[in-house]
Amino acid sequence: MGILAEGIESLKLACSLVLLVPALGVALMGRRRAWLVPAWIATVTLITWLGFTRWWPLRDSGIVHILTGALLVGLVLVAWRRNELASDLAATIVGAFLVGWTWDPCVGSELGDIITQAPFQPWSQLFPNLLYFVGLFVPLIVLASLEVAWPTSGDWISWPALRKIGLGILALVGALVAATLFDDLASELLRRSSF
Amino acid sequence: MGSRIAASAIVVAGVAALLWVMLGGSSSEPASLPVATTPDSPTQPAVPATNTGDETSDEEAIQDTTRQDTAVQDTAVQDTAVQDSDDSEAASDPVATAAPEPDADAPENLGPRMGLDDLDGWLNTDATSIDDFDGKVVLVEMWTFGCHNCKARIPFNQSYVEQFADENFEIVGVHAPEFSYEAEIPNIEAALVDLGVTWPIALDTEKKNFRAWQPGTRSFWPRSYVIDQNGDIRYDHIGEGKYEELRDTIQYLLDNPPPAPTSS
Repeated sequence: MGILAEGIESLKLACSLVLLVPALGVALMGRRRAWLVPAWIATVTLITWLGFTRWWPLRDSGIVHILTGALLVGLVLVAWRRNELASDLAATIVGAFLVGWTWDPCVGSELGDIITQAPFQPWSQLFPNLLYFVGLFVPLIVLASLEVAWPTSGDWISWPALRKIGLGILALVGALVAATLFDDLASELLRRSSF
Repeated sequence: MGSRIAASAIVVAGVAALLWVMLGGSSSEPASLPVATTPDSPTQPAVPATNTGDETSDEEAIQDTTRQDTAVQDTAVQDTAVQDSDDSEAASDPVATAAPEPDADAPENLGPRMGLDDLDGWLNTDATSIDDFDGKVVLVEMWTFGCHNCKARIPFNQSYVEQFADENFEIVGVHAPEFSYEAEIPNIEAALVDLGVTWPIALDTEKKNFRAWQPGTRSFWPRSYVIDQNGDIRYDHIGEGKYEELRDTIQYLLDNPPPAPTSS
């Protein structure tokens, strides 16, 4: 359970901002978030775990980086037009892949254990890594569960304009990552808020 | 109905977790700073070379493979060369007829360290290269001043500085900024004062060394390496924690300096 607590505590760390800003976009994507949030968490878990195991061969730089960012922007535009689960899911998964891939974590003791052991005992570190991100994305899980628990509560958090804001955030993240400016945005947000 | 109850429980638990974080969560300060022992205190037994996760986990299984956990794994043959030269010296010595017993407590040699190249300068020191610290036990720490987990290590680093003040020991912080404001030297200088960092700091603004020292496609803050008097990496740890292991490794290397490599 220590890893879950460390994930929750990571909510207040600057290093988590690059994951939490696009996650906010997913959280705002309407009633489908009950599907999108698990997809988001699973994808971030998998791509970071692949990086920790060193099975993932690519650094977050170069043409692949730019192409993935551009792909995210394209998928968000499709999701905007179609407004259906499949296109929302595609944008969510690519967005999660992109930010999970580009994330350089600040590491506490529990996550440090996962990272250290992952190259040698990869499969045993997958579930702890999932627990870390379940903790980090607790706000998304609460939002996704809220409208299942109290269906009428979904009315105000599923306002159509919020969906557009959510998609807009994801598109912005894709564009900034493609232009290698995403860290600069996070830096500016952080500087204005705390430095 | 069941799913609504389960979802309600998740919401309540999630809100409770968020409140816990907003109210401070668990203490971000170290629970207890270890009391510095005297420099001539007995060496601790069985120093693991690398962080091996949970204190109760199977450390040996990891230790067998930790040689891979370094950027310099392919060049680790130097360790073997040192061993060979020791053996030949022992063989030629009529008194020392048996080969020296390998020290089971010795931290594993993970291979020679890399250099620190293309730096933007140094702070808190007159040094101009990591080579200036050759012959010392050096704790090299990859960090950035805005990183919560890096800041959590600082009181422990200060305790090492105090404990080993009169010994052949140095800390070198490699400052690798995550965000642009962390790359501005006036901000770094102000942070060093605020955080009480007095040890030498190498400015790795472009993060070239930060990435070069760390194998794989990911790099982490903080990461700590202990370099022995011969320039070999003897300890590698990612993240917070394992402060006593690190202290024991430093103490062991100070008490048991490795034999100097013979020039070929």
